[in-house]
Amino acid sequence: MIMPDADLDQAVDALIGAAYGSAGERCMAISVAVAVGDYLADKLVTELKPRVQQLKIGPGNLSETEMGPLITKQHYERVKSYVDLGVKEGAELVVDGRDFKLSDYKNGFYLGGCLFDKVKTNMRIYKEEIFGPVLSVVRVPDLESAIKLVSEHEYGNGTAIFTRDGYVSRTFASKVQVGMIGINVPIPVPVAYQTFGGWKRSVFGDIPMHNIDGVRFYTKIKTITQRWLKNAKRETHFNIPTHK
Amino acid sequence: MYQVTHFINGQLVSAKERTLNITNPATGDVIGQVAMADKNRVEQAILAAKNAFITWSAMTPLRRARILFQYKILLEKNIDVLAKLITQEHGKTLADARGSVQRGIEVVEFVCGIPYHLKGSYAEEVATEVDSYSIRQPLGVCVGITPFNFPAMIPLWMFPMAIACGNTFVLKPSEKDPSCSIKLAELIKEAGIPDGVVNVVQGDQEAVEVLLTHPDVKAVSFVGSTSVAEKVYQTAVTHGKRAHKRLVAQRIIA
Repeated sequence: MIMPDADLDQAVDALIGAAYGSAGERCMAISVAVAVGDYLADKLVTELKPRVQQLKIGPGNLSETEMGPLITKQHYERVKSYVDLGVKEGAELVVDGRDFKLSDYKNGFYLGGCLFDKVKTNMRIYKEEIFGPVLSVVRVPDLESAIKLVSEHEYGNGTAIFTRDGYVSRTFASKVQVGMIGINVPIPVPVAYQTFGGWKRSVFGDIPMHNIDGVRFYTKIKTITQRWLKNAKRETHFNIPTHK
Repeated sequence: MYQVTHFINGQLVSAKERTLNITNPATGDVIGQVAMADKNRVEQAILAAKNAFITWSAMTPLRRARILFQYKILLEKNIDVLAKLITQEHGKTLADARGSVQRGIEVVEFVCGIPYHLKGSYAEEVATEVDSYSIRQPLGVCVGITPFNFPAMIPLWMFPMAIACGNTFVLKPSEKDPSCSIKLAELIKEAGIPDGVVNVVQGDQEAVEVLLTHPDVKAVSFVGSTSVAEKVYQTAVTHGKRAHKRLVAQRIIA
């Protein structure tokens, strides 16, 4: 989520890395950029467009590569078909990476970076997890509608806000119905001594990962009540013990 | 062309089995084959873990932590080897792959403090001359089913914590990039882990089915897509209830 007061250069850098790093194959990848206000949205798309077009795509073992291929041919086809679908659904395809080819690696599973603008919440490319190098820009008028939009998605793994306003970021972090929140941090994957866990349909089960929750998940607790008697008198209690 | 197989009871295990191709996504070339475990193979791994649990769970948490310290050192020494395997089979950049291994090592660092984290609580005089205390005990054989996108990090999110707590483990990694799982297992053997504490079975649906329904499996961790996660969760929980065993399930989508 990008607020109009955000440092736009920083937000763009963050979005590019988080949307296209690892070819978008991360559960905490940024797949949707929620732009607050049309003025900001226009500027954002203008700045994102050349960056997506200039992504250095190639084999992961070359040091200059920024984005590698997708995992399999099948996944490549699946991600590509989501881009076809987005066009059909009426989103504006600002950067089309579908025809990307690397002449030296003709058989690799490389998809160029794709960027959609004016994506709507009823589109499947918004609702479903594409898991590829495809970033969708959704436009909303204000903070409240942005919080509502993020919160109403059926998934709730991670979200991030870009702003210079402490009050706005605090409100967002407090209200939004998502398990892991970044404030000017694009991929807020918690460290091992914090807790990792999404909300809603991003998680099944009761105990998240990492930290003491990890210990709780992998152990069962046993509680022992003990007394050691010295010269006790004999007595039998038929009532529930009340710990006098 | 290389072969990736199972790691059971401290040994690489291979036999004539169904295999799948491993493809380098950067070139489209088939670079290896991975064995697919059948029911017997998975049961063999679960049995190895079950047997190892007897002595491993009795080892003091401090001694378990010392092995994990050793493991952390070996992982750091081998970070480039692991990154290379990730890039070769997953496709992400080497720098990104190294970073992901680092995020896995952080969990090993955390669980090196397991003696502290396993401490229970003590309440004196809950009644006259009666005390009450709580302790945390391991579950038994735990299972991890991990996705293709982080072939080192997500296994490292699971089994170091599980074994630090005194459990033993069967890992079923993604069949798309399985080589890391074997390297992770070999390194923990080198760190001094007793045989059978960490086992790896390569496989698909057939192996998963056994892991989710076997009565000796007490906990399942899964990271993958939501649709699969939901099915895995329901299967695991249902079988826990039928067997009247405690079966804990933890599910995150990738």
